[in-house]
Amino acid sequence: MISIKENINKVEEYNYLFDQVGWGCYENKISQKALDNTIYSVSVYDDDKIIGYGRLIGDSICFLYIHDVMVLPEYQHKKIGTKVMNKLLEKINRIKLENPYVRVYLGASKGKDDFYRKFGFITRKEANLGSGMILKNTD
Amino acid sequence: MEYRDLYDENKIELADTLTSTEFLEVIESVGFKTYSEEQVNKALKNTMYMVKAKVDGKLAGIGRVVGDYSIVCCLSDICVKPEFQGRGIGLRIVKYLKNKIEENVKLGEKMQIELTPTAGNEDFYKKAGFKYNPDVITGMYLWIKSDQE
Repeated sequence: MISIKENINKVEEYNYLFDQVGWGCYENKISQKALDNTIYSVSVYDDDKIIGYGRLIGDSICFLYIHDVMVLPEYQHKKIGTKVMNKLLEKINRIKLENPYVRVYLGASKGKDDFYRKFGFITRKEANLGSGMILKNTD
Repeated sequence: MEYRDLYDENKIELADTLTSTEFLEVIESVGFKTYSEEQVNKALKNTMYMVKAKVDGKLAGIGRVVGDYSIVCCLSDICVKPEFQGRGIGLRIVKYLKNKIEENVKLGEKMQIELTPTAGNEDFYKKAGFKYNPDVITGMYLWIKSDQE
């Protein structure tokens, strides 16, 4: 049974996923500090097993940064990442009510541009900006 | 951007305080989207490091860093008023923020700085040591490690 939880930020789960997706590993205290300074996060579980995660960092009002969107390899291509992104975007939309001009950035891994396009992201180049991707304003 | 004679290093004063009024004054001078004072106050409260640059007592530019204080951070709102551009202030702002981050990375730790340059300013950030490698990530980045130069 797949479930989504908000703001869990368990350091062991974060480090486990980080390692499983091949990004290496951080010491617990380093990850803990990063998680403590996270604005909002989403954890996805299969029963009680962590299978996906994503977090928002930033100043919580003018600049947001989507970071560490991770799905356990054996659960990839099952729309788990989509669940994570949709939940993060719900939070972003609530912040947008407070500040319609909030800037949302993410640094997509190679080959993942099209995944993020589905959620309304465009490359900064396409927006005639410099490098990077931003969330396209729909209004 | 037109490059003019660089200011003498001593002419640029840097300080680590920034009010919402100062922030808005600089942001609006370059035509960035503006925010309310209340929004800026909240943003500054959640900012890791901030800096303002003055020349002859006049506010010339600002910059700040937001992030998680541990693994990753982003340069944001690096901004110099048009009449002060092209004279080395932006580079001083970026180097100041980079130094702040370096000072706070402990031995054996590393932190990633990312930034999204406005079009045509990639070379400016390369001068400050940033890399651009779209095969790895779409923005520009720099790893600060405490065990190397």
